[in-house]
Amino acid sequence: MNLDVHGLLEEYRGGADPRDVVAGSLARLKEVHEVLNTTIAFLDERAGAAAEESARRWADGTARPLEGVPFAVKDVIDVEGVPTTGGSWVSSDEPATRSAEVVRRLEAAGAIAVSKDTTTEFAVGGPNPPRFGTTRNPWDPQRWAGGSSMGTAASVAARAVPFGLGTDVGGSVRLPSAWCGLTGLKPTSGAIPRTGVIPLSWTAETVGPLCRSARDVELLFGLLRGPDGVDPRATALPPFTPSPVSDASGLRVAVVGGYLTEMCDGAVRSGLDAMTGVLADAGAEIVAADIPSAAEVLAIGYRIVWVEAASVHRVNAARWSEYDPVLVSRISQGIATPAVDYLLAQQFRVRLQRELDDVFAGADLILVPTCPSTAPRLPDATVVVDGEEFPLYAAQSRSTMLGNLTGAPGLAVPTGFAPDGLPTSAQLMAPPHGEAVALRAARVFQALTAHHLAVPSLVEMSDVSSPVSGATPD
Amino acid sequence: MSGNSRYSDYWRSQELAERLGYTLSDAQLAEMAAAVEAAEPAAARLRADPPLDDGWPVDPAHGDAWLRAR
Repeated sequence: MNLDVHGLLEEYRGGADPRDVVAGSLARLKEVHEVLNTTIAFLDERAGAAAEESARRWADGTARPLEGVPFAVKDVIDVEGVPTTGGSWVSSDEPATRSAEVVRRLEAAGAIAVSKDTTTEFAVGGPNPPRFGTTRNPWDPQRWAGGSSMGTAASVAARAVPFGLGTDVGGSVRLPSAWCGLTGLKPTSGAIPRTGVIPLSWTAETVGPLCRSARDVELLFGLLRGPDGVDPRATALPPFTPSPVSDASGLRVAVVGGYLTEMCDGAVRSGLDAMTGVLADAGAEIVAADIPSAAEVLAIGYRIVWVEAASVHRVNAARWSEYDPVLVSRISQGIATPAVDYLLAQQFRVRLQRELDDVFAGADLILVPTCPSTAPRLPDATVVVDGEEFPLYAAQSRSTMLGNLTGAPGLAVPTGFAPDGLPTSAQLMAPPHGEAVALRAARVFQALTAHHLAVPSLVEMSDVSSPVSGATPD
Repeated sequence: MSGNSRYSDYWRSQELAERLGYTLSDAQLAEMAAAVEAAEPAAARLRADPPLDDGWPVDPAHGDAWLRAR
């Protein structure tokens, strides 16, 4: 499955059979899972029936926009008839009675869900979830695929599916995208409804696609966005109009320094500089900018998320002893956070939004590293920045949390490779509802570079010296 | 969160967790306390922030307005 969504649809128009494609996708998923531990459930029966329908539609000329395209689903997102475990022992294994709105929209467009994928427990636990274990990175199995949408990212990067759905509260779409060489979108808050997704943080969480190209993100975002009448934060949106322009002329791109780049591995910085250069050569104006409160974002963002997550997980308040201890250590501080501190943290969002307004007064986009390092090392998921080792949570969400706190969209884009062979990434941020501008810049960049087309080595995938702990799917 | 008042230990107590409906082990409580203390410098900076526009503090939900107005 070395095609992106656009490429696969072109194959279908040329006569490819969705039954063969979906069967091939599932076979590849199982092969990949054996090595990387990507999958909680394979949806053979459900996907097979959908593939029959797709074959009929391609044959009789009634194919829909994503007809026959297989996709992976992080296991905090409901798929009808399949349990949603959240990667946790405490979840009921009863099948979901209705698919999440995002799954319903994709299936209404003809796409076919083929898997429920590993996640850190409830999308907030540590890199070694007790129930299903960690997920290895297709670029180097001794590295983590990333959290929290880890199985989805690894499946897309390992060419088992052309795209997948993840969730993002502090970077959980963009970070695994960065570490696995993918193009992943955290949309504007409220742009994509979250109905049918296990909640974590009401004010910070989003659902987004992990893809292999910006053109695919653009196609999928257009199909996923818009209110559903249920998610109270998914309200009416301005039109989404992808730009037909194939260069970057007229775009002003702000490169933000200070806190967001001071802790940044040289390889990540080189990728950022290279992207800046390519966009400038393509006609963009590069400007410098500053976000004065950037250094406060990570701690304040977590403060909000932990309070909300502790409140969400009160539903299992007597069973935290069965949770991943890392999960408990993270969200329990929300119990002891004074209400006034939580509200001060919410008020900080307005301050931060005004600071971004100031940047966007002179720029269309902000360009920052998606994360300071390449993929974390297993088993502890430590990150290395210019040879110095840091704990995962001190490093990973330094720039991604900016989008979750302000609601602004962020797009992770592969920028190249570090000397260790791992992908590097930069994040394009736009003002709210400015996804089309970020996607235009990413499309221009990907038309002029080939980083997003690189494929992980199968030889490396088979070179795993230690097994992954956790249960295997039925 | 430091000090000698009776309250200074209450926030890290089993009693508080149970009153709020949570069951935490002593080890989990200790981790919770350590995490809150680690976050205290950022919280202190936030408390020291003057209100925006030198007026009454903004409605915390005002953060959503940025998303709706565009």
